Amino acid sequence: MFTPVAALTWENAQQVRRGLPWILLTLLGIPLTVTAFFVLQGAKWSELQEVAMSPPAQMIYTVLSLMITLTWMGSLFGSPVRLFALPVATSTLVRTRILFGMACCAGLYLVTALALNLLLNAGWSVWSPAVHFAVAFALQQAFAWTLRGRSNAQGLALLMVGPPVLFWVTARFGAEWIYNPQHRWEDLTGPQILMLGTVTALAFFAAEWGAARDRRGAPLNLSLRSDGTAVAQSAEVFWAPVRPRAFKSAWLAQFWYEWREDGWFIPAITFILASIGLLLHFFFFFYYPTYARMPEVIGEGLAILSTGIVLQAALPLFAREYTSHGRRTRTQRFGMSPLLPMSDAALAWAALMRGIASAATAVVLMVLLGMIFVVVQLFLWRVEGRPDLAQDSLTRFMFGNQGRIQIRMTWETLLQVAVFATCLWTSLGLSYAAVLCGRRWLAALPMSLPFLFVLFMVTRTNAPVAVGDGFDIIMLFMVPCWTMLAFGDALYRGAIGWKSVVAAGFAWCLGFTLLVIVPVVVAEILPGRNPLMPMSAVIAAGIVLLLPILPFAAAPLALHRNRHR
Amino acid sequence: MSGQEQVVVAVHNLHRTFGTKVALANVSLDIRRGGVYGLVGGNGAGKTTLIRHILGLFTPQAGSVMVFGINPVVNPPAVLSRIGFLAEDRDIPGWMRVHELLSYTRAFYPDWDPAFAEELRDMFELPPGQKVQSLSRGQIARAGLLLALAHRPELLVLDEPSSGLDPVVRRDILSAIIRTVADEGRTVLFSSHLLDEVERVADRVAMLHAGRIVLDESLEQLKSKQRIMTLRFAVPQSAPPILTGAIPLNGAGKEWTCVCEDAELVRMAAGSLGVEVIGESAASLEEIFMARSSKG
Repeated sequence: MFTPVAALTWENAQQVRRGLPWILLTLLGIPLTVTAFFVLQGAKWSELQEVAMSPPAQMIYTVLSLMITLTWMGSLFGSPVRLFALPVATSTLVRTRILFGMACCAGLYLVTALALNLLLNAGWSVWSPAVHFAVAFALQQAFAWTLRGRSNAQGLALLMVGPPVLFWVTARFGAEWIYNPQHRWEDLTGPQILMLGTVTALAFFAAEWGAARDRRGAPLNLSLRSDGTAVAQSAEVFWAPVRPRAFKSAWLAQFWYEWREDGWFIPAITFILASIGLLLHFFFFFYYPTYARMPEVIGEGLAILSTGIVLQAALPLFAREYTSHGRRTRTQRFGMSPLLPMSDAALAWAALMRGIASAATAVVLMVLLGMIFVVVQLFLWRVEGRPDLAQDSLTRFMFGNQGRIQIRMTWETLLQVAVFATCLWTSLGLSYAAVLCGRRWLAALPMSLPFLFVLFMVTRTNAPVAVGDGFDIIMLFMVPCWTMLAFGDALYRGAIGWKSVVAAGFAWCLGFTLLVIVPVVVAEILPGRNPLMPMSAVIAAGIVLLLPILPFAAAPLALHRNRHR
Repeated sequence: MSGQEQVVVAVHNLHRTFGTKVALANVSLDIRRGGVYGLVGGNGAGKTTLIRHILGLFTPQAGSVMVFGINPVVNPPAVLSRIGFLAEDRDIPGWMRVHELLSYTRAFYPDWDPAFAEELRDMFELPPGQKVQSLSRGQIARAGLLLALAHRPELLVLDEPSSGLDPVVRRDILSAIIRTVADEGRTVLFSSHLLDEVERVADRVAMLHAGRIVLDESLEQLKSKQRIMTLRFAVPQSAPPILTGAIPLNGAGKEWTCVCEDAELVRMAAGSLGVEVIGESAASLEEIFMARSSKG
């Protein structure tokens, strides 16, 4: 016969079992896909090992897998409220779940990191990150139990995971870790263990306190959406525009709904993350003189931060899709959207446009923050009488580490930008398609595209599309086939009409024309540049540009299949 | 209006399986314009699956479904704009305020009647500034009913609508609304477990059992034909007795009640076996349902 603790643990294990294959697939799938990608590009094994063994590779993997694991686990456990009816002490409920989850998180990291070490000979640290994973889960659960497992609380919880790790690293290595991340994760010193233990104990205490409050009917409500205060109202106006008196069209109404439902989330999280990044920067600037006087640190650091923010913007989306967005995969529950008298294409496009609007808002916020940062930084250096540092840092940030201003506006650069934008848009569009078709785990695949691209850019900065290697073989055959199949099937099933096909064709022509014309225009402005692209690059670019039109068909098709099962 | 136009929902030989489980087996059904059509059946009988096909949320694996002469899978906007739908688990976003919910939904329905919507909002006592998440379960159910009615749909589909509604709303308001809709010449498809409720408002009843239509006729005809008879046997019966034309309902020992369609036939069969008929009355829908369900 089960004891209450055994029954609760069994129930927790059942919850986790449902998602375990997908967590493992994602954690192992992303690095293995990256490896396969490089193999297709003809990379040598020694080069692959070099990339795998680099500290940034482990840092990126660790942060990414931490986010994925925590989001998945939080999503699998769901809201704790349903457990309150059980005749079990609150502390037992909380401790059973947190201890089980901590063991799962640590175990997942151990298994995947060991597997990758064996497969790729990556030499990554295993034990110390695993312990941090476990502590991070305890912190996340503290938020989940205190704030009733709301999806927004998951975001806050993810933000809370960083500071303990950050303070530990900084306390041990100073500011050096930013530009020299050769620290050893494997070391777990006495003070670190003490710190992790304290954080875990605090997490348990907070979770039990929050759950006890909630159980007696006094849940903690930190939601900005609570009524009553002027601050809350003004905040709401910022991220959730007030409904107009009457919508001009059904599509606008659906877009408004999409924005209010999920659209504000990415800009808000991006803004918070960027603000934290800037605060950290100024913290280091004032307290670590070495950091503040090294333009290459700030220049390169800013570049890394920008890339990180792009990834960070993608991750909350990823988290969002996996948690609260899960209900969209259950449209058969008679949610509102499937029953609205709108076509599949219109419904899908409202969701896609929400994604674009979110990304655009996030970019605008980032630009605004960047401008504030530049002004403040320039002011600080001017006060210190070092305008040379200002120029040097900004130059390095904008144009690389060559130490002098270089205008690199050639077709290669434009092509890189186009491919990057293509990857982002395509990954976003296909992720929505995956979610709309009711297969959440599929969303992980396209979401790894930007990650792939960043690694791709790092290793092959000057040749994003080099015709002739393995990558191009896939692109040349798979992408056109995939696009034609998606459009054909969507047309056949009535998910889209000919208007959508014509619009997609027009978008492709426009993109392709721009891609061919812009280098010529640039060459006119900057004499001495070769305006002509090699024919192979023109063909490759044309095929690459098929990808961004793919969501025109994939999203409505996915929605159609889910809506009319 | 031609006969074709009179048929609002035409289901022909509809077949649906989920894995190895047969949810609907060659179901054929014509729902004509006007009146209230009651759909009854036990858990897992296939009522909701049938309704999902009518709404276009399931594609028929075999057979066909046409609503207003249109395939709801091929052209959802044309069908859904003429349907009002209410289900127990209708998902209404909690963050919306009531007035936002009305504005949002109004945008999709050209025939939305704002005055009627406001009238219903008043009747259902829904504060316009309140968020859906802070409404009670009953209020949310009423908000769902409001959304289903305010565009004056040609076909009102109610899938277990009573869940969450308090008895006053259920008995008085819902029944009144259903009757009004029907009296205006529009059609109501009403699926419910609460057979007394269906009996009170329905003009015609279809009974689903294990994915098959076991009964489909007007309630008036049904109640006039179906009788409940109490029989007394000479010796105690250990199992439900088999009697021509009778479907055993319940009983034990010597006394058994059964439902029958032809009372005269049962009386003759009973007489030939020496069984005494000690009572006869009109069968309620619940008794008919119980008998048909046990018969399979």
